[in-house]
Amino acid sequence: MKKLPIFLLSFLLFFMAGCKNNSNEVVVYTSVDQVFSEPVLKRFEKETGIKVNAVYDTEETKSTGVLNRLLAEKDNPQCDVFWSGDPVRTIVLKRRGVTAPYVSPQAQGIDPVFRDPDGDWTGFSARARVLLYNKNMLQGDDIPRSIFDLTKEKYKEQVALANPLFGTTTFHMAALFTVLGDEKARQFLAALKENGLVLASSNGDVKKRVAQGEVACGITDTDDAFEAMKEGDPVGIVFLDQEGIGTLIIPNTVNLIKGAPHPGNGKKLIDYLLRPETEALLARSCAQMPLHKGVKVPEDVPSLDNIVPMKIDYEKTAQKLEEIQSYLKTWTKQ
Amino acid sequence: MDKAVKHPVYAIVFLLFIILVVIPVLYTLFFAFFTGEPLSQKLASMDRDTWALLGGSILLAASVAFLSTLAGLILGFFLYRTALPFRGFFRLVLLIPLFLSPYILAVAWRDLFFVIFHDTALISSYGGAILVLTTVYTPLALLITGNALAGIHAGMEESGLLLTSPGRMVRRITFPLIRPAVFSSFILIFVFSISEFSVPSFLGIRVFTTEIFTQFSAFYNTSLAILQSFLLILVCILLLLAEGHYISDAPFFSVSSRGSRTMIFRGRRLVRTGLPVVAGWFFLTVVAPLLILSFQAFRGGTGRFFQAFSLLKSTFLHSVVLALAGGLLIVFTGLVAAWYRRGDPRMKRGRFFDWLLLLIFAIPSTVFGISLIKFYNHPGLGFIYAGSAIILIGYAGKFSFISARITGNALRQIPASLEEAALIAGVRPASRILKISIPLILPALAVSFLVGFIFSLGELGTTIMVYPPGTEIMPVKVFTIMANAPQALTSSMTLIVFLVTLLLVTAFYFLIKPLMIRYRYAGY
Repeated sequence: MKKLPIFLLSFLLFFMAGCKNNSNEVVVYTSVDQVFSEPVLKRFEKETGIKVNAVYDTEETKSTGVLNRLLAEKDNPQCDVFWSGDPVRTIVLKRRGVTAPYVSPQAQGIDPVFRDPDGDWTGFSARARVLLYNKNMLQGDDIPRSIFDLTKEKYKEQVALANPLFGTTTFHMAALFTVLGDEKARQFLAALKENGLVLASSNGDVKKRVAQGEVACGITDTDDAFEAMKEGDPVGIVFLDQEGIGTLIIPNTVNLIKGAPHPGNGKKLIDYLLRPETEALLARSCAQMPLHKGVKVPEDVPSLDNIVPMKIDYEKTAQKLEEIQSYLKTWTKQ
Repeated sequence: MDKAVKHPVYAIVFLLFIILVVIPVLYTLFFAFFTGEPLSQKLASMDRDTWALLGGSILLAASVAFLSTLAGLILGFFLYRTALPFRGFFRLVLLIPLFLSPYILAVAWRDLFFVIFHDTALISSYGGAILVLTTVYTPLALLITGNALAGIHAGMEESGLLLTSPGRMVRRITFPLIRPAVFSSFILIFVFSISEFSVPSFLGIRVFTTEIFTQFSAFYNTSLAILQSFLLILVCILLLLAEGHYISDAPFFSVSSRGSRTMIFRGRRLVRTGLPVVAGWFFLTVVAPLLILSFQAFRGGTGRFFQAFSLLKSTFLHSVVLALAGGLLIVFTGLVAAWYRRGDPRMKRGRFFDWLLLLIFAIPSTVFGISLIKFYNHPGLGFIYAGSAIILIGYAGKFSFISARITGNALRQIPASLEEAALIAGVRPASRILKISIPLILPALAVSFLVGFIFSLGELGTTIMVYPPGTEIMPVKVFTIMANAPQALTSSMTLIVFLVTLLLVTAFYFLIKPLMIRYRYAGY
């Protein structure tokens, strides 16, 4: 029994042995689904020889893991780069003083609307919010073309939307409030609820409900929509409001962390992610639309040149989001 | 300081647990309570809706705990007290839901409802959440109550039957004897259910844990989320107080009959009733979800299954080593915590350690994860924060309570006369422990290790918050890949995790079997 503390100590030392501080590494936290982000990071590792230590999370869990981890680590950062699937989380971090400015030379070809004016984040490869519909349930003129069509009687209890308190759906709601104004946006949401809107647990859940015919259509992101089509589900997509307010475009964002332990390597990774080649890779793997002009993409990946985007300021929309969260919480309870 | 606390091994483990696990939580609670806005303002933000949600969660957890315990009792009776055919097989296979994540089972159940009713409204309700969670936790109830039923000495019930009817005998003799196990099953499942987030969230049910999650992930209000979590802990502590008051000195979890003979009920009617009940439950809670998962995984051939294997293979070794180490730590902490409470009929000694184990067990995983980050992410503590040690601290904190309960009961069942005889014979204390007590509680330690290992291998809530960058942990990888992956890949990964767990549990069974045979004299 006297040897027990020695045994315990050796045991603990064994499990502490894994930690080492390597200067030729970069630590990245990402909320982009691992199935898409890991191949890009592996390629960076192979091409540069810089070891990538990644922490993955998923939008399906509303990125609770990485975001709360970055906030909790604020006073002693462990992460160099945060690669987010949308601008919301990055802007939350910027407002809480977690990000640092870095303007990558690779950001030159990207429209300024997708870049932070202070240089704290840069957008690349974008998704869009689209209508996913079940081809067996909706055909021809029955397919909605505007988000406002979804309040019509014929779609009663046939439309799914993910919980608007989280992720890209919450950003979509904030964008609607920005574009329409508070009163009209509230009227629209009330009408949707009145029409028996089905609240799903996530965008992936919206995809599943539409694909198996539980509802006729739903609003989701292009990556979920293309995944359903790749799986051979009887679904189609519509870029809504092409003759009206336009479709919401959601870029990936990348930013440097303030006080990052490996800022040099962090910047190299940011440069790598913002290259047109990375955008081409993401277009192939998950149908994301490049923000650089002239990037070669597969035929079925839409081009931003052919889509009327919703005209929003991402910073202001993120600010609006904070204002409307309490309203959205009440709305989901009704 | 009582005699137990003075013992060096107990003191070291107790202090290590306080320093490594409890202080990080208290540190975070302190900051949540006393920094930023005044406490009164924070408490005022908990409106009527918050309290209503807490009430709803208590009701849901109580329903799950009641139904699971009832189902566990019924199944336990047929499997441990009747001559039901294949009862050995059923005892093992009915534990399978323990190996699967509640979230995956919820997905499988919803798919099943859609296939049968072409509608999921029925399952996407409080009733649905109760149904899913009941199937998830009934195996725990079966383990606890079944073993208690098996531990009743035949003489007691036979004497009762000489004097009165079987029904009255069950009410007056059997039930009072297993009452502590029934209470304990209820409490353990209640604590698990009230902290469960993934199932209500997936089914779209608003409960207290989803409210805490909303504060974390939509409002980024960590302080309020932690304060709300504290309410959950209070509820659990109140429940444990009740348990301590009513059944403090009664057995919690018997893992063997200690050589006593148990009365087995025979008769065709019992078999005719029991077999459909047990087989029906097996089909509903084990076969149906596994069939759905297998159908989804192999619908388009075996390609996705092999892809899933290729994605997960890099996680196997590290995850299994961590879970093995976690299992050992959990068993050791539980053993030490329980050891110094043995022989104290009033259960006062070492009670503080028990409270601390419960505090950490009841705390939501995200809060525990944030506590570990806030405490260990400081210069000088990087040797813990940046290595696997942080994950092990998470495992030991979360699951040592269960181990302490399992081991504690086994220790209380050892007759004092055995140790007294050894003491009189002049056997040294270390030999008394290693040659008498440990062999006698070997099955309890094995069960404790197994539960700790299975829970550690599947732990996600805290691990996803603290795992070191660049490491690959099986449940984390499954979870982060399944978000946008095709259904076939997701189901394949779930099946692989299930098969890996099953394989390891089976290997452990055959590894431990010779030891059990060797110590058969001790009553196994």
